[in-house]
Amino acid sequence: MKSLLIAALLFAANAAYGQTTSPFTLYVHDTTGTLPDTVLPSIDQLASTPVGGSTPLVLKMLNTSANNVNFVVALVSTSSTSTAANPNFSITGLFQNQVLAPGTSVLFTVNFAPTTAGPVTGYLNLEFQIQQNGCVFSGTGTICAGNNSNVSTLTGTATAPQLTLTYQSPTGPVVLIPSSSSPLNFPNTSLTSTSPITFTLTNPTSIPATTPTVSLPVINTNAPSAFSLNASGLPATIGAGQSANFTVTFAPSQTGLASGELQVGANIYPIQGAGVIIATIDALQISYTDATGIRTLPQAATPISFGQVLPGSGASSVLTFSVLNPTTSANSVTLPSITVSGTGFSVSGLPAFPVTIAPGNSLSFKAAFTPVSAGTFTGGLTIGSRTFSLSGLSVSSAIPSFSITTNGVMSSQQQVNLTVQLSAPSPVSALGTITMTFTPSVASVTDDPAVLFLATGGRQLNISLASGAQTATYNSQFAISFQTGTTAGSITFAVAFPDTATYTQSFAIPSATAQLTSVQATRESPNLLVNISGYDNSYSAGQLSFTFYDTTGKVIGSPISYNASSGFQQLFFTSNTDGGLFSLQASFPVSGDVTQVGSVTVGLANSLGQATSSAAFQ
Amino acid sequence: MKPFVVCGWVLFAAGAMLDAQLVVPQLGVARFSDGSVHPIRGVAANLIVQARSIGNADSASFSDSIGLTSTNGFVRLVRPDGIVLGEYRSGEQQPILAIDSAAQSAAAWLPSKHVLVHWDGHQFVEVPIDDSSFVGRVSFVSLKADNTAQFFVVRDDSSVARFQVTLPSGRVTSADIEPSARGPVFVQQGWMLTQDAWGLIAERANGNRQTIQLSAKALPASDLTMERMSNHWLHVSSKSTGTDWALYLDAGKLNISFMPPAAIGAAR
Repeated sequence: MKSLLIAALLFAANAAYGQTTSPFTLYVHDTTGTLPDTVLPSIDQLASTPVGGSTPLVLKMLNTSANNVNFVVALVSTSSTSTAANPNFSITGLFQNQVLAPGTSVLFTVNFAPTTAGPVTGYLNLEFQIQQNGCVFSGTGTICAGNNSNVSTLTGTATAPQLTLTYQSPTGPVVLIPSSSSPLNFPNTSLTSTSPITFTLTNPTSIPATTPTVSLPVINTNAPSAFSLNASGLPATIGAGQSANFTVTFAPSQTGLASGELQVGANIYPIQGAGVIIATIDALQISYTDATGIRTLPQAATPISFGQVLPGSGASSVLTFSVLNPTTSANSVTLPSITVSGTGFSVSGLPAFPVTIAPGNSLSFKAAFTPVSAGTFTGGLTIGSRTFSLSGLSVSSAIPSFSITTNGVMSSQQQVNLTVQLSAPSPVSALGTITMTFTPSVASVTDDPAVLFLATGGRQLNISLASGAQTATYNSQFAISFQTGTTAGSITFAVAFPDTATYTQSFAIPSATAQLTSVQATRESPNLLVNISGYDNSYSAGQLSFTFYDTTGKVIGSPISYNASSGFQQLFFTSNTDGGLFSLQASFPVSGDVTQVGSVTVGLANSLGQATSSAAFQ
Repeated sequence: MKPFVVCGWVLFAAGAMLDAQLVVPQLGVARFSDGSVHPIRGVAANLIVQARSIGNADSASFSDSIGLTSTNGFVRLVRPDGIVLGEYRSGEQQPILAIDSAAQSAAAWLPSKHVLVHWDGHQFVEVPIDDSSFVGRVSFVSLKADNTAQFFVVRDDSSVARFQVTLPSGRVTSADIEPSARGPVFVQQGWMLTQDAWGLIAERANGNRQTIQLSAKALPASDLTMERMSNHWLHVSSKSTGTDWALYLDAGKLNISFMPPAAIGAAR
């Protein structure tokens, strides 16, 4: 609201400014990158939004003029010429007084947040200065004229108010505000305990309302949630003036703050709680590692998943658990037992009980899922008084054929997204793996450690496929990011789901000229120093050349060449653990005034050609 | 790094004799969410997290040659290879660490004690600061060569004020509002960085402003943690998504890369 007031004042102060054609072109922008930008029409119909709710419209504002433009402010007003802010809209993510060079852009969001039901119209106005004819935006000189322009008329319909969400606090019911910056705090909770909170959805209107979907969306793709949801008591509709309850339970298994989100319809409510040590056994740090080497810190609120196994094949999914009493712990902890329950689940490698774990010591054991028939299996794991639920899937799937697509250039030094797509929606849900292997094309080179999945730093990920979906996901994400390294060769991805043939697809990383990613030139009289970083994915770099220029740009003398082949060969082929990366510093003693030397052009040749880069001396 | 050396070069008369010593580019040092601190090698979009941890820390800040860490109430001056050069018992759980380039730029703001601690070349020195006019939370501090320190203070209304303090008197000599900054700020290579709903806003004093989108989904307030990895690299991490990035900064450009986690890294 404060920013709106400021915006209104600025508009009022500049009321004499002329209406002019906007130097900006505005695009509707999809922040997921799925859809291309589309030009914002002069009249844009927004999605119907309930009173009290909010619909964002993300816009990209591109300076399509040939001049620098000082963007002053944007405002959705009550008419095309009004400077009064329309209370049904707000603008976020946009800073005032921002200079945009030609061809540059910024993103901002227009929020349609109606306050009263019915049709709503707003007028998106921009105020700006165009730098032309020698004018300046501020300071001394001719100040660039201010202009404003109506760029679009926004229309939408405000529907009936939303259901209200409350919970019972010790002082009475509290109404929750969506997207609040203050999360709802659950009580500090022992790792052997749980803290439930019951939420109430109330329909204050005079007509029945469809109950919105209630969920706990994944916000940290690398960690299980410490929160669980029981919405089984929610009806399909909530009658006029009626209420319905659901429960969120905070069940931590790790100390420290745990954050989450409660989603009710389109509204997000931040939640958080802290796991604390109360009982002695709370001090134990429990983790498990799967077959791909990924270590996970489990939470009691989220079942530990063993993935998918073919039924009756005798195959098992095995997790290795670690129970650590940290060195910071004050007491030894005695476990009377570790037990597992549920058909298909077992544990092995257990010590004799009772077992005492002194501070700094740990024990490990294995838990296995070995299904004998198809179906979804659940169980429980109890470590002393610490409990975890278990889940495993055993299906024979009929997954359609799939392929892999990438969104970026397949060359060295890239971070690229890939997606695993099916030819048709999957009739079943399934869990699988995607594995990448790298085969260098450089003789005598066996690997490049920078070729990896960015989510884990490893080369294998567990992926999942939902029933009806046509794209596999890793931790709810469609895009799977990886690095291509700095060695020429080929990256092969293998996608495997149980009871399906493994699908493989390879991408070539072609050999190329060396890349000089950084050249820095400094004067340290009586020396000139040139620092160079880069990579050579062919591992064949050799000839270096340095051409110096004076401060007027004239070449000084002849280029200085040096054959560094032996140095590169030693770096690349002796205990190499870093691919084709290199860094060097060249020092040039100078008799004379080093300040006469203005810049240097560095050349580096490999078997595919010459790379050059220049830098001014600092 | 041992340099090439060109001998007998009388103002660009050739006659080069180069002693080649090539190494792998060191990108910086980063602290990960489990507290482990690891050297990072590579270039943009090709980061290699070294499996070897040089220690654990609650916060860290590194230049190319030196760094500061804070661990369990101890501020330490450390080299990038983990060798500890100095230690100060701060008792502060969340000091604000600052380093620019050389060890003499290393400083730590201890908010509970109202003291700035800095390295004088031999030891840590305490300087009491008159912070009565700050009226907010210090989010960034830097030590200048002219015996002054700059404090960036976030007020309750999220506005940002910059205070200049002379040393060793600890007196405030000037205070200015950063008009375009909202919320915690971080400064490196002349860029002032703040968080917005989608990622980072980077702005230079000349008005050059860039947005760096990190997430397709709005990030919670104060979700991003920023720590210097080296002179030109900044480690940015998101608490809500568990994602790490490395941001390259110089006067002319910014370049963001995903950073692999340290859990497996090069130890695969």
